[in-house]
Amino acid sequence: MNYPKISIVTPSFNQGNFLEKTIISITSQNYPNLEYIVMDGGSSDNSVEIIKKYSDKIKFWVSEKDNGMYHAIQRGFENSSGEIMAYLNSDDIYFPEALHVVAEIFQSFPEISWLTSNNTCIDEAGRIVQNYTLPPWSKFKIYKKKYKWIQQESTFWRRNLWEKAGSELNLNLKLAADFDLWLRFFRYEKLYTFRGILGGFRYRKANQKSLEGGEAYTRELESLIEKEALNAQDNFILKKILNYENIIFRLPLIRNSSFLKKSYINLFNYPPVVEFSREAYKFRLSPPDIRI
Amino acid sequence: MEFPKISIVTPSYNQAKYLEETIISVLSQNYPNLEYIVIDGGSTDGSVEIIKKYETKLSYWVTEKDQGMYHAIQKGFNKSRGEIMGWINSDDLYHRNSLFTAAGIFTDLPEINWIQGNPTVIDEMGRTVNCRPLQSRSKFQFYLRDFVHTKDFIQQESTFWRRSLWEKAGSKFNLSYRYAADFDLWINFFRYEKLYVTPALIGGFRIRRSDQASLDHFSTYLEEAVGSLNNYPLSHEEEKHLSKIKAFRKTMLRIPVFRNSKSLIRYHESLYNYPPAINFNRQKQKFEFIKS
Repeated sequence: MNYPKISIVTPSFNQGNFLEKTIISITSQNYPNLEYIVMDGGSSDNSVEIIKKYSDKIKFWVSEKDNGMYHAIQRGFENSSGEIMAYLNSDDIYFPEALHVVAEIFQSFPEISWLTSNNTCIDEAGRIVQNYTLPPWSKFKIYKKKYKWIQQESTFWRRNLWEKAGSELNLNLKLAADFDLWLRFFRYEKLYTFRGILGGFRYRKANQKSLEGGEAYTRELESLIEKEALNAQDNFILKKILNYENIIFRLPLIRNSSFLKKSYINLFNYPPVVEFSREAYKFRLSPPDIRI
Repeated sequence: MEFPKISIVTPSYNQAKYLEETIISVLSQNYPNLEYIVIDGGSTDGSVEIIKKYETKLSYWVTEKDQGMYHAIQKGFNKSRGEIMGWINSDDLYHRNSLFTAAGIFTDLPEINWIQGNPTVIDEMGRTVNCRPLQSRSKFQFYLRDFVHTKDFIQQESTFWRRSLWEKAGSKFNLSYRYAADFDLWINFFRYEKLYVTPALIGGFRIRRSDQASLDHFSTYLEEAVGSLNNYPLSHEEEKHLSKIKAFRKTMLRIPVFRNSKSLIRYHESLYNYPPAINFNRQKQKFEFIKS
């Protein structure tokens, strides 16, 4: 098997409690073509000592003041060259072999430009406390504000998609710059879902942006959706979808017609799902099983 | 956090290729109150050397001819004393920290006597390649033989129970079943307790290319499973309730206008008498029931 170069960036700032677990979850995979970059924002806890401890496995690292997490990630990506890209925050983790799975899926399916997986959460003690299978993603769901949640920790993309989307995070956004990137990715490519697990989001008691800033994050994200200018074709499709929901599916006699349901589902243009075939013993694309 | 004693048994027979990974998945968690027992059936392939390598961390191990896998597990449980019990076959894996997860659930929710995590599948490389959507469990689904069509079984690798339940059920497997003695145990358990499912990840079932009982003997497994239902006659009330569900399925669910009605769907669900779902409370870092 070929191992495409994978670039992972970890932004770090005073999270010495969890940082080592994050780093180990990446370096312990022994992925043979890994470009791991750690961007520390000038931590005053033990973060820098931890980074130094693993510096032989880190391609590039720095510790200096920056303008926040997304700025750190942006600078990390600017120093990266891998064909496949992702970032992992300094309290989250990848599951064992995740990089090998990602590599094999991107190698097997050239049509996939970005990929996510089941949503998985770990707690402060590292227990895997939640795992959810979500239906496949369609940008039209996002445009309808059904956005909960594309799990950032489990999302990987090809560099050419990153470049098409402008090679940058929107640093004017303090909270939802991740979602802003997904919105731009959706302009070009479908998001595929893998039915296994890749990354885990760490649920913490306190001191976590997603907890304290939860509502502010959602507000910022929704305003991004509202501002997203759709092209004429997408706009037409979205209107059709809303037409089904607001009119056709309210008519008692016809709302259960399987023909109508099917044509409604077709409008979303869902990508196939990435599964593992026991018979063939490799990944395969399967038609998504969508129900309404 | 409390650490109740957990007894884990691994039955082993000539699976040296995977055995070490299985053992490591148990021991590397460093659960402080673990009783780990390995019962080997007289392997000749290097399995015994692997077991010896870890013998200082095992509470008990033996290698001697036995009458198959379930006999080995039974011998192991006979040697065990832990309050929480489970077994992991010599090619399957526990997810990281799953013993702590199980301990947490049983400690946080004392009314629970039997749990199953979200079922996952692992490939030969140890990659988690599939997570099945979490399904609520009810004895009535099994009495109705739904598994014959759905092929959906309780995932043994993700299952733990309290010793008190094991004792109520007679402290033994039905060793007349070569393949489905696990299924028989669950049906036996269902006489006393509900099975609670959790979206946490506990164990993974390893799918292999070949030489796997579950692949080569599936039809025998199914036959044994169906047969084992006869071992546990239902009470009069259960029979009555079962007839009610059957009648509902035969009539209402076949009528198009009704089968999509939300209130009927809710009523249908209520017939199965599912236990409450388990949620992870982020602020408390504890498991709790979802209030319905």
